Amino acid sequence: MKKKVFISGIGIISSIGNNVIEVLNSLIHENSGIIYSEHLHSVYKNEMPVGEVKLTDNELKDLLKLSDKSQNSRTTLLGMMAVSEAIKNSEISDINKFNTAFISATTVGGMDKSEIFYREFIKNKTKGKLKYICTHDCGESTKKIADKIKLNGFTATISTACSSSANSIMVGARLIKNGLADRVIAGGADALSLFTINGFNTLMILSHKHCRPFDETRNGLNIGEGAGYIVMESDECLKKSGKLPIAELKGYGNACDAYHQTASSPDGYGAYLAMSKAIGNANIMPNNIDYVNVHGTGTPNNDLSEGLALQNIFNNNVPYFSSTKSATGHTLGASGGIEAVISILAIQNKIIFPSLNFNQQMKELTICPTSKTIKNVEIKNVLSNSFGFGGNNTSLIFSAV
Amino acid sequence: MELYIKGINSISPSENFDNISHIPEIKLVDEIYKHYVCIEPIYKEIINPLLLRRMSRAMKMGIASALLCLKDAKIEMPDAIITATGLGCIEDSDKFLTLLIENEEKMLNPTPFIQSTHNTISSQIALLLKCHGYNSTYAGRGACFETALLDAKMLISDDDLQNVLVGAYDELIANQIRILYRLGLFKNNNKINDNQGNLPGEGASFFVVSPNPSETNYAKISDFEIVNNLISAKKIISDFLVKNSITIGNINSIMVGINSCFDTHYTEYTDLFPNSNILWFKHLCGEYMTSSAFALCLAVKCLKNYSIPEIAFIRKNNNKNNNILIINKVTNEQTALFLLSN
Repeated sequence: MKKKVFISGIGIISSIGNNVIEVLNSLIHENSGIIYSEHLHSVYKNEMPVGEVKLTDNELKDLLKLSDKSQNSRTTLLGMMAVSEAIKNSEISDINKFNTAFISATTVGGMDKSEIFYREFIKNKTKGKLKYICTHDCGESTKKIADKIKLNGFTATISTACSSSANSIMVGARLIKNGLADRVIAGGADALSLFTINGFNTLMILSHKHCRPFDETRNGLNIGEGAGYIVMESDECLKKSGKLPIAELKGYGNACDAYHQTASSPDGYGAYLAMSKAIGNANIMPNNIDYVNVHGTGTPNNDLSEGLALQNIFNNNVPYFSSTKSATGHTLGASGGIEAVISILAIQNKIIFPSLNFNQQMKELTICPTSKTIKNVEIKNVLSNSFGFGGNNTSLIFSAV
Repeated sequence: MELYIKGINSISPSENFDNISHIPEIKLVDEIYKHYVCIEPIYKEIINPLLLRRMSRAMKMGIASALLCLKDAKIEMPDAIITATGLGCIEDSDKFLTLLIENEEKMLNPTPFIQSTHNTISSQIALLLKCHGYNSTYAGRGACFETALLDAKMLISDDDLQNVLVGAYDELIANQIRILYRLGLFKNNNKINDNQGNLPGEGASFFVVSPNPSETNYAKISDFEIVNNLISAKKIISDFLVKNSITIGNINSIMVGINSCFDTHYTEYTDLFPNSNILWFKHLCGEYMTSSAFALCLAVKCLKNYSIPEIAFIRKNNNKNNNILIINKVTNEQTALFLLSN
């Protein structure tokens, strides 16, 4: 029989809080972190609200006890914050005591620093400070975070656009199931950058207002930043350290929509496949799912496609669902990790967190998201969806223990 | 579990991959920065010309290599697609970043942004094939190709998959070459004979791996592992070989990731194998983050053909060609090992 995968710790930083407690409070009180940017200087800063972490790079460095002069991309700093919290939350004292792996996801990596380098470099190829370009590749943040936590074990970096960190959690779980790791820290981090703001802007899928997932009037997403990581452990590993798990990762499914490079298929076939694989992998029935933390970006295309897939898979008996991106913004490669943490918080606290800004039922759907906080709900299984460019779709199932 | 290699393809700077006889032609950027460039196939014979128009070079190389690999394996639809890339579609990233700065964030074309994501190639292959199976991409420095292969191995064992397409790609662009030389990772030294040097390179290599033995397979990956360099070379090798019930004396050849004749990073390994042939590969593909995929391709080709091209030898000790152990330091911290046999 395959091993079970338990979760023993969580860590998060996002526009609605710098740690688990702050994020939980914001979610319960229906606070949104989406506002005009203070730290990222884009020409669109007063047009497009974003989900920005409310700390400067230097403030993050202070909290992490790093020198002001240390060269770390914002992605790395955000990742270090959430990973450090997850390790603390999991009460790990010696990171190398068990065979521990670190699987991290990012899409922008050190693009914030590359932007600084390129400003000089494109004018004169002998100019531009090299320290700013050394953080460019996606593996850089993984290595820096692994060094920060003094990990000697296996590390890997996944980059599958907006499903990146859901995939890193899935791969981490499979390492444990295959006996290749006893313990895995997995999730992802992404910082705001001009590159992504402008990229999504050229695709005309950024909302100038607060995003409104699954609302008839939705007109785009708000980009966010942050990091979310979980600590997963095998049963034996937990027993050895005498810890109690906070949740179980019961299932996962990865499928490709194979429809279009940036658009989701009109019938949500890839989304349907990922969800049904995850439910099958967890060996449960769709009606065992109590809450779905949807991908729900707030773009016309995603929400329609995902909504139809939900109606399809749940046979029109769709459980509570909400998009917490309405509070955090769409944190791209970090979103799967951030929403994994939020899904676990829902189970732990028996709360369905709402989709903010929902007012009007979508014409094409018969379902609408939960728009008010619901407390005291027994939540056994949460389905968390992360869908990315290129149709890279992944669904995870977190369960109560 | 052993993996069998059913099909391969490599687009690399080396000509005549079946029997490489000389090092690739050296190209120059800004008349001083030496580097290798892939010898590319005629793409319109492989990819629909309408689609080719918008594709970057990395996309063309990666997608063409994947399609040629599937053809080689006689597989129309793989069960899963997993890719690895160090820097992804860097040409598109460079283009979008440059334009956004020059145009002060106005009037930008979305295509380079769309194509800049690291998973572009794995998803484009899926799109072309209409393949709804598992799809993922590993990125960045380190053992990203080896991790993609590890993922394939887990998938085959967990989900009973039969054919997984695994590949790696990295393209080289002029700005990157300038930066690599400025960082001191490569040196402009005319005193170094060109075939001894250490140059930036690029390439795309794909494999179809399967759990099923067959006479038409190229070779089998008996085992592979990514280990931490905190452990001594001697212990790394002895643990790995014991696990695979093979002795040092029975390893016919080792292929190491040295990047020039002056590279001494592997002597601790080569010293352990006094009777084995010592092979190298980076003089044939250049240095890039996923060059180990080229090494794997070259090694399995040698095993399939029962012959090793002369140019791959650093030291010739025997005429046996039943197995090859690839030893490649993927970062300062990690070494990747592959044990291959025919």
